[in-house]
Amino acid sequence: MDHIGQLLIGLGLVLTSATTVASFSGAITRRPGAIRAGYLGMKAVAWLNISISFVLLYVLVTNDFTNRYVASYTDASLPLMYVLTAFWGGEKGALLFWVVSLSGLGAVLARFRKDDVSPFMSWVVGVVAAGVLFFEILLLFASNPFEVFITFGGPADGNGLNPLLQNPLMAIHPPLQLIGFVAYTIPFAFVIGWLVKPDAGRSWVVEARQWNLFAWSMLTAGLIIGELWSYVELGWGGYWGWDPVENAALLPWLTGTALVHSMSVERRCGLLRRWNVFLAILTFILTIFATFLTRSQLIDSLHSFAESKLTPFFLYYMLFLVALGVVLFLWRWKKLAPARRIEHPLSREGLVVATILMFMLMLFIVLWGTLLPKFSESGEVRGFLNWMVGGFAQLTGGVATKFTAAVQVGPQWFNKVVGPVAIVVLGLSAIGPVARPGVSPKGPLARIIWISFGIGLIVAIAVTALAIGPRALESARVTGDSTFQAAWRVFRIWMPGSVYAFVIFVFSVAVIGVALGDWWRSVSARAHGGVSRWSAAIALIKAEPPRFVGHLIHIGVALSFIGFAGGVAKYEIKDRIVRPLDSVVLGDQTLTYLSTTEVWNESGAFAAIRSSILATQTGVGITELPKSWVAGWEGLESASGGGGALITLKFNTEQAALVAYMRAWVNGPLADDFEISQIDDGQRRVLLTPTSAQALAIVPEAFGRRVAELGAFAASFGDGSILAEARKAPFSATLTFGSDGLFDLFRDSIKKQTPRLLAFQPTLNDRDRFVVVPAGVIRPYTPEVRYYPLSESPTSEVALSAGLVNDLYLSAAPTRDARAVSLSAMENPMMTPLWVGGLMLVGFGLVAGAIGWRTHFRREIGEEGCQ
Amino acid sequence: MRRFVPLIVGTLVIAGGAVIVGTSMSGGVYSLTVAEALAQAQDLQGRQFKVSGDVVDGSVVETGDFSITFTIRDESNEILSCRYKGVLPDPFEEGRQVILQGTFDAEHVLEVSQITVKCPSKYEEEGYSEEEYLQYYGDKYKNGHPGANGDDAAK
Repeated sequence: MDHIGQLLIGLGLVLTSATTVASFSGAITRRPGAIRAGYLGMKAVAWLNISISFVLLYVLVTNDFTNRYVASYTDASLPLMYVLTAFWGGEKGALLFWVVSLSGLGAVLARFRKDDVSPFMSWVVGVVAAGVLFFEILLLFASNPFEVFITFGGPADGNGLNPLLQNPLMAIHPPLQLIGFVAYTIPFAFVIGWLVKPDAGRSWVVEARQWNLFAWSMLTAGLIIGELWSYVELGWGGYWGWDPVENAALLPWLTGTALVHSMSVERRCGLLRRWNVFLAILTFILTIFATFLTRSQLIDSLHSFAESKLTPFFLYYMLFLVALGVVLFLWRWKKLAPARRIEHPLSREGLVVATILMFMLMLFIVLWGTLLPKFSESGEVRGFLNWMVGGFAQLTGGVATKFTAAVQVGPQWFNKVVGPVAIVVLGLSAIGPVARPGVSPKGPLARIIWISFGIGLIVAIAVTALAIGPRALESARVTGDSTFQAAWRVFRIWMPGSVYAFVIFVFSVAVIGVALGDWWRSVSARAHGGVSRWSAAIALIKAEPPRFVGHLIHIGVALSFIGFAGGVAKYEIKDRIVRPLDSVVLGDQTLTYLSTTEVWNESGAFAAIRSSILATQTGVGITELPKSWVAGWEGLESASGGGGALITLKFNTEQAALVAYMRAWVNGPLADDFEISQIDDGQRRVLLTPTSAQALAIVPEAFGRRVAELGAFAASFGDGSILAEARKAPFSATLTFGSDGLFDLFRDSIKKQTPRLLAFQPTLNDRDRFVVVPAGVIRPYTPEVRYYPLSESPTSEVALSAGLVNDLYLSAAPTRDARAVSLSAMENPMMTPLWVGGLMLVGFGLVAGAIGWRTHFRREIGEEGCQ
Repeated sequence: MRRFVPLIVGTLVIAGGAVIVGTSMSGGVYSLTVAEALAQAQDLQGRQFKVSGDVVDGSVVETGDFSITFTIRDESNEILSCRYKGVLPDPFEEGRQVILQGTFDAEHVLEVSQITVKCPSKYEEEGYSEEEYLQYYGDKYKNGHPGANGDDAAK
């Protein structure tokens, strides 16, 4: 089967070459026959590539370990879903995916344009085919997914998929991201086609519009799912780390977003033509750059990929594209002259230019920060930078340090420097959507803008007060300052984040206000006479869909920024060592660590160390105890809490307490951890074997925890009463009882249940009471650490509780101390607006692309009368 | 007024560029090889820097309450002694590649404030030759796939 795959790839190469030649020659000679052959070829190539994909899926699903790719990324126990997603789990499969998606998109293009037998369109299809050809060459010669083992027949079982990738989010992130990159080939092809064959009657901007929006939506989706995966799966509580691999994918997104706006201006007014050509070509090149950066060893990254053989190929490809772009751009420079000058900076086109410049600035910043470690390796570059920084310091009267080694910047620098520029863009998007061509906003529109900013200011003050309030009050109480002084101190500590967050709230609310206000004004204008507001709104959506969808997308942007701002006010605990029933305070929550168990997950084929943590409101704790629960304790006198999660059970007699305690232990923690395999009456000895043996086989250190727990409870009955001993190979434990009384009580307690408990303290306080955490009142959180048999390192699964305002984020990891775990927790504000905003961006981006897909919106040029 | 636009834009570009470059250099953390770090140890006193290398087998010593000492070695083949107090990231193990951030103390031992362990990426196997593959994965892959061309895989 692998050989069939190889054959098909070779065939694909031939077919794609033929298609490219047909399309280009058809364009040059204007022969419809050749042009049509090119379109047909494109479709054939797509089908061929789909078949190749099926071959790869086949070898994956049938566990064909003679294939090196299959052996590297799957194993026999891997669940089917992840076997399928292993398709793009490695470089070779990702490359095949690239080829399949690009030729698929090309086929769709050819299908929809099949009646358009013009040289222009033929150039476009030809460029797409050439793009496919490049990657097919890589696939056949340098990165073949159908490579088989030659010196031996392949291993008996594969390596398995990296556990971090065994997550539904990580299953869809690569395809979305890859399609996002791939799809930008189409607008690029349209530009090249136009530059080579400028057709006065056609505008590439109009024709490429839908493809561009589709590409943007997919790229945005890829980034957002990546953020979501990082947040939910990686266990650090953040979603963007400014890692070089992340930044690489951000670069085309920055220019791509600028491109969406500038294309819209050209469509309506014929302006910004040079910007559009520049941005479309640059975005495409950046998608290749992203792939290159990810696979090369250029920058030290957390996502360490090994040196790829493909690096030089991508480098030459990029240089070729840059040269091609420069030559064509300069050749057609005059033809790209704009219809008129930009009159006013606050007109629609003026604001879009400002936006584009801001995005270019962000591009430079991110590029600089990402490549700085490489730049500053060179002594000459450092010398130049030292000179520049020194000169700057002299001007400002500061002191300059001489830099003697390569420098690397971290997330704080990126946030600090990119932040203000992004915030300026946010501010522009509160004005831009209602700006008109040629003039600054006037009259009612200007009023909407001012009012929205005003409301934004009020909201920002309120939100800041709410965020700082609790901490200010606490600080004031401790230090004795006035609340106002304390609040100012907190604000200052959080700078520049607090300033950014404040401005973000002003601008975000303004954006939402302007979007809604403009909409309201337009609907009201239409809703006169007998027309209701509702039908006016529907009519407006039908008449001007892009405007409506554009407003919604900007609202999504505003929500995303609110999400960014929220991070300033988060509460965090890192690596706090806790033992059972210890609690820590996080903001207004108290977290109580309860217990840890080890379980074996059959379907996922991993062992999980699962910790149980209870979150209660500080000062409130557990208030209500179910009556049936209280009634279930024989001889109970009282059950009282202290405002926390711990309840003290006081019994009428010491004997009643002892009985209850023993029963709770034998049927609770003991039964969870051990099975009673043998009882020796003569020696008063009980032999225990651990439960979940399969999990312990993978995480043998966990046995230490069970032994420590056993010992703690055994000791709680008094010195020498019960002796606990453990053996390591095989795992087992024995309890030896010092007296008949306790031994009989133990035996009687088996299968005599007490009301359910989440945890209890291994101490019999004052002989007549003990402390418990009841079950069934509040559900605990259960973060895990997962151990996969074939993987080299464990992965942590956080417990996440998403709320409208705050997210509670918990992770717990076993430590070298048998009974302690390391607890990390966060209260993350405003995460839900972040995800909702992201969803709106992607969803409405796709909708915007789908609008007018039948008519291609040809009627749009100059429709609003740009003069 | 329009004549001044290029001048204004130009000034903003240069000023902006200077701010970006300047803040990156001063806010940045040195990224050094072990050899460079040791050579510049005097100058680096008190300054945070980043260094990466492999944790040397057998070098990890537990010195008490969640504290360890260990050494790393990188391509410059020099050894750096390190000290860390805190909870270790899950993947930390001898032989793994780590990125350390910290400062030198008086004895030129790195007091580590941050450890990141590099994901042992699965992309790596693709670059192995078949001998390396067998060597890396050892015994469990010595059994040939049924239907292989009779060659004994145990090398």
